[in-house]
Amino acid sequence: MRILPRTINWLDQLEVLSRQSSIAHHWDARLKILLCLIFQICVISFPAYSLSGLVPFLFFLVVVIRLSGISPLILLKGLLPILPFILLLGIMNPIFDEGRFYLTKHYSISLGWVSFFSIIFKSVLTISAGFLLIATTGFYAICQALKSMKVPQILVTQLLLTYRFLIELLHQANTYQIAFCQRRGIKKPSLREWGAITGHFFLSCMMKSNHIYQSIYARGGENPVFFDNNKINLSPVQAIFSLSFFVLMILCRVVNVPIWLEETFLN
Amino acid sequence: MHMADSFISPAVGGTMWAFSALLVALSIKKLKNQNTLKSIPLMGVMGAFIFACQMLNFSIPGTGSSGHLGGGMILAILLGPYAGFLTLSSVLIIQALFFADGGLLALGCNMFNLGFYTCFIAYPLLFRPFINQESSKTKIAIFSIIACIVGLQLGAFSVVVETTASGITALPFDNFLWLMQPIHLAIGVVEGLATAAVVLFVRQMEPNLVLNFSDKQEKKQARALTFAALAALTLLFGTVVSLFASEHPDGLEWSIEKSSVAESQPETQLEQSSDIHEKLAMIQSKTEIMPDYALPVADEDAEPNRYETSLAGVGGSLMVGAFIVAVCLPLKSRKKKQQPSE
Repeated sequence: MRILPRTINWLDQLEVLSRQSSIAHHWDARLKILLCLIFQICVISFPAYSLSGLVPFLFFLVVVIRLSGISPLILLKGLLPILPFILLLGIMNPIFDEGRFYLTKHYSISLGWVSFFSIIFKSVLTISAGFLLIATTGFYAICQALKSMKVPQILVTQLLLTYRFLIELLHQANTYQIAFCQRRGIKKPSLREWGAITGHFFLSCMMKSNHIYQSIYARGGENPVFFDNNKINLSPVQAIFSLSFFVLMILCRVVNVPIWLEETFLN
Repeated sequence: MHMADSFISPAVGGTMWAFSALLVALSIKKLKNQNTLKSIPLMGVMGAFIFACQMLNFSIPGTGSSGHLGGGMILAILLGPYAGFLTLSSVLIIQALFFADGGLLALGCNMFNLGFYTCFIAYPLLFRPFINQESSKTKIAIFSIIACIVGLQLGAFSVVVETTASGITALPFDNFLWLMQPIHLAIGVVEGLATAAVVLFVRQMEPNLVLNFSDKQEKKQARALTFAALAALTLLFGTVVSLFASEHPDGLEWSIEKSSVAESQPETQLEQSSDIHEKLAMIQSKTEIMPDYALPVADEDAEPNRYETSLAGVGGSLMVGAFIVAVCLPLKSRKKKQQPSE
């Protein structure tokens, strides 16, 4: 029963974070989306046994965390509920993959453990990048950026409306559930009772949807405006900074930086 | 069933993104022909509704666990397959961005696994053709469960295929399959019951909101599509999949071979013969067209050709189909004749 309040709290927290003011927050949302996707593609394109090549990608996260002023603890809070599922599937690798990886001439570990840590590392990197995107941009700005990137308007508007009604409906669902369970003195409803609660909830959602349609129709006729028509201006500084980030990411993907450093400076 | 980015390769993620983008484009094209101004707020609210419902749990008696609504099937029933798919896609995007429940690059996989099979396979082929306003509660519950099970089983199978094709996890294909399919069978039953509970309640309270299919022609087409899909699937199994059939004995034959009774007493009950047995065996030998799923040959010890098994599969399927039609058609025409008198 605590999952609903926890979800509402998390959404509120991300919304508050996205309204802060920092260099990362003022960055063009389209650039942030593109950089986030490129970052994720670079990370997941590393082979299963590559662990050292992933390390430089932490640098990009650290830079964005520093620029945005977002606490790493919040990222950790978002990561924790997901990690058990990743651990569960990743832990199969040490069981089934018995090849050896030689750290030195005498010391070796199972290749399964290498791929396991690689999966965990990749997950931490990709999930953190996603959270940083939403925490520094906000959902409205993401939808607006998607619209300017020629994503179909129906999909973008629908995304925006889903998000707008989400918190309100989560509160409503929470109230329904608490009221019902307290009246009956139970922790969870049975299937039949749950069907009645959800059915009532559905009917109230249908009413809400009709009211929204009528108000949209009254205000905007057949072509309602959901987004500002102001064009997003891309500053040269942002463009240069993003381009350098992009080049660095590609370099880190092509060259295994820790091994290159070792070969250059230690040998 | 949400896949994370770290378990897929860019090639698999990109391919599934392309498939899902095509499905989104198709859904948008279909929706543009309808009143989008009315359907967009409805889809927005329904997306939020599904999201909230996934957190409303009910207890499953005797297990100590709980279940909740899945999404794809109920959205297809309430909004139709195209709007349902778009709504589910937006829910998945929000889940990926805000909760890391499924990755951004794995979004294409998740949209396909959770949305395509429920909205475009299970709903139009296994629910829509058989259910209407007059359907009984039991019938709605049964078809909800069947549709949810099939949708989830196909989705779970895709997860296994996509993960194995990505080559990230060392879990062998068959072990992963055994891990995923049974769990999703149980989840499918629970989700089917939950879907039926909501649909039945809403039908009782507001009969015009759900299952109000007025277009009989469309329903006929949907039913024809279901049978065409089943026929295609039967032919596929009869021709292609049968080539990979195991040559080992089935469970019953194996247990008879291995049982101590069979080893110690060769003349078991099954092998004992009587006049009736002999006569029946003689009739069977005269009527059998393809003994042991192979063409009859003079040399009994000759190894059967693998393609003969396919021929037997297709021939057998056609004969069973013809038999069912022959039995059911007179029953249907009799029912039609009786209807006016009632």
